[in-house]
Amino acid sequence: MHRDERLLDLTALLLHQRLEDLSDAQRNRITALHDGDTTLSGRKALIVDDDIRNIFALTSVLEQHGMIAVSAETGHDAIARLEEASDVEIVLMDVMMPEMDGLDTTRAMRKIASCREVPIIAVTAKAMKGDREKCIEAGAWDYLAKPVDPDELLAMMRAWLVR
Amino acid sequence: MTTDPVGILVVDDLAEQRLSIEVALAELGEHVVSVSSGRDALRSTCSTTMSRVILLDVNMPEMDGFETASLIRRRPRNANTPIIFLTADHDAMQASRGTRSAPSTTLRVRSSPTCCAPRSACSSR
Repeated sequence: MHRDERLLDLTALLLHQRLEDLSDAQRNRITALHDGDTTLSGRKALIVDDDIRNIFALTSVLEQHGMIAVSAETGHDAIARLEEASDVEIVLMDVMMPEMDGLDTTRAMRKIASCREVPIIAVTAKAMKGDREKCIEAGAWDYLAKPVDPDELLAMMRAWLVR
Repeated sequence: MTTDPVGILVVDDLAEQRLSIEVALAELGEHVVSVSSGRDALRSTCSTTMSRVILLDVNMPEMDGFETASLIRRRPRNANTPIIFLTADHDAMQASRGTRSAPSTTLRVRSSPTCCAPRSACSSR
């Protein structure tokens, strides 16, 4: 479904092309893809971040696209939430958190049977060399640097949720 | 996490100020929730269905009323929620004019808040 459009969307994203720089035909196809947003609408995301301001800002972005956002302010809360119910379809995981960081939380999450196949996007403030590898090793499927670009985040979530 | 719909959300770092606002609002019969920081205001806004009005203290430590309001305003679901700033400092309010964190109404507070601004905001919805 919409495979060509998604390919175009992701290619444009990865090549850092702005929507306005594309041809009219290409732009229309991407816009139609985003407006429908059947991939994101109604899907439940867990946002894990120790700063409520980041949770609130990300919740605003996800809600604009019809998503249901739930949140946890510590790694322990996130694990408790995931053990309680297996309704979360994707996780946005802050890496730098006190006590139990995003990497530990990701590892703990992968040990929960119902969470093995849930996409985790690691979000980190300091994009340092080797960060990406550490996140992937811990069990994250993707990696995003702060400050989060909403378009990049949405394209990444669409790519993982389309399966 | 969802609780009863909050009619009025009161945000003030001073307990005595929260209490006097709660007393002033009691006669409206609305469900009032009081919190003591901008962070708690965001938590409450995230987890409840909708506040009909937010009374927001401007001068709070760490995260002030301007920052709190601008985050709340950016969320489409809360874009039209009336925000009433509570302040004793008129100059601070002038600085916020025309910015994204501009309030719907400003109420200057001294010792005891008056009830007229919240009442009008509730009845105009």
